[in-house]
Amino acid sequence: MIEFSDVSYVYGKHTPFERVAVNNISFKIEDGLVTGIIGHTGSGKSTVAQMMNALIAPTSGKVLLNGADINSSRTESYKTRFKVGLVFQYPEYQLFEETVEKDIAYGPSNMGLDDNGIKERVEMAAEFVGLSKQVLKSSPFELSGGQKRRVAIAGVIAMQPEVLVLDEPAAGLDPRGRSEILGRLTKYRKTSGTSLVLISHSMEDVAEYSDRIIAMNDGRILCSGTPAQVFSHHEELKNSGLALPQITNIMLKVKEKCEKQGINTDFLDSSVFTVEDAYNALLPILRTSDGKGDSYVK
Amino acid sequence: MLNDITLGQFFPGNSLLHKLDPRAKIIFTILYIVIIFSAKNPFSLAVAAILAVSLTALSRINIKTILKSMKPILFIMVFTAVMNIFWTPGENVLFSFGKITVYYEGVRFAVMMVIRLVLLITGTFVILTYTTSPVALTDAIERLTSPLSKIGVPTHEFAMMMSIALRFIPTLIDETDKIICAQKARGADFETGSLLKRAKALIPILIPLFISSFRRADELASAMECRLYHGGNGRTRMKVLKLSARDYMTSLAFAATLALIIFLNTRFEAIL
Repeated sequence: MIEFSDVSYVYGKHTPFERVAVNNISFKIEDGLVTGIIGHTGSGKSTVAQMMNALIAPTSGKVLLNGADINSSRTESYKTRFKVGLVFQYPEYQLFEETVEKDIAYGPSNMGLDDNGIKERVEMAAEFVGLSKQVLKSSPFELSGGQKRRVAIAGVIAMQPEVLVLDEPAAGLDPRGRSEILGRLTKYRKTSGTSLVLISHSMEDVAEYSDRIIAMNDGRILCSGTPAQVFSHHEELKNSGLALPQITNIMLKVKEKCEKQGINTDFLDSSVFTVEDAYNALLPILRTSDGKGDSYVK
Repeated sequence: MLNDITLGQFFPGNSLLHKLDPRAKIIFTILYIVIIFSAKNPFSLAVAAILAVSLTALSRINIKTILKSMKPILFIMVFTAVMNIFWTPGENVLFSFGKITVYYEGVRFAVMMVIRLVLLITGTFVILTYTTSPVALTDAIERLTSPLSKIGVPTHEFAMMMSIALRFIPTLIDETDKIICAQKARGADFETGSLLKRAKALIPILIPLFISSFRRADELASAMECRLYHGGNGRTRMKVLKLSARDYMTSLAFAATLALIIFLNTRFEAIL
């Protein structure tokens, strides 16, 4: 479990360029769950990501992993990097080896594993992200953008971290690439039991895959909790420049229209954020408007 | 991590020095260096110091910033001072310690040498690097060297390459920082181990950096061609450089200082 307690981070302290990126925040990342961190550009979410594995130490406050301060010593920070795997934004630019296989092996070999252990982990990680044996032997620079992204993610998964933190894992991918990567990651989470932290500005992605959501704005936490709890704060989210999931927007519009017509909207829950929820919310009304409601929805 | 680089940084502003023509500023810088090196006695050095102080005041650059930029050359200053104190022969012994004898002349020489170095750095930085944007600077270099293009030197191309290189320095620093972090997240260790091990640890940084630089260069070239860039021939400028009254006045000030220093040199004994 990762715990942030009263953490602040200031860039360029004591210079004219001083900027507070994270302002006194506290939260917990619970084990075995998918936690989504949302916020628009400059809200401090990437800084939070880098503090999770001690790449940067907070200016004030503490970051605890399983109760221990990860910034207490250099060795502690170094060890944390293997326990909390961090996949950066556009991670494909970190690839450097001759073959995909060697590149994925970079992390595990830094852990000091023997050749067999490394091989096992590389194969495991490649399978999770869906890279074929043939791809493993090729140069990472010959691959497509989406494949490179998967190689980079595999490079971190191969270290088998307790917590996997991904900064915008789906940025710049086409819709199919997006759902493929996010789908594989949640599948990986289910099989391995690793906690997942998804950092994104896309409400859709976070809403669909997260168990818990932390919404950030201007270096502070705007609201947090289950997706339903967070999306019920739709006014605040909108004011801080975060777009709601499209389906939530549709439901809010429907509710508004109904209210204008004087229709009772108690049955419409405004915190609907997946198509599944929308279906369940709309089902009763279709049934009541027409005796054979079932023919409208399958 | 790599954000402590102040040497050669431009600070936008609206002072007299910011407004001078960049071509004139290059010439002033050369003139300033000549002034500093022709000051050979304490009096002429004092005149040069007055020039440096007034330039600094005119630039409105924070004195702390200037002091900070001295840091990298602090070692050189201390080294020169020590060398000169102990190895300058003279007549008036200040004190001697075993085989080492320190002369009054040596100390005098060292002090002046350090002052000269400080003035040199402050002045050139204030006139050129701190108050001239890189774009203006390369523009000025292109114009100043343009006579060379008559004999076939590709001055425009050189200037263009220089401005592109300057433009990409911050980008590359950012990129390096990101790659270092990404590899650190995969357990890279740059701080421990033998020299060979540390050198090897740089490979995962350098390769991605090279690759992205090539990619960037390629993209930039395409983008420039899309906008019909085809070299310097027949290219007009949006901002045409023009000398104004303040450039002429400043040159007068520089010329007067140089004349005064030469005069003082003839009156007093040379020390440096």
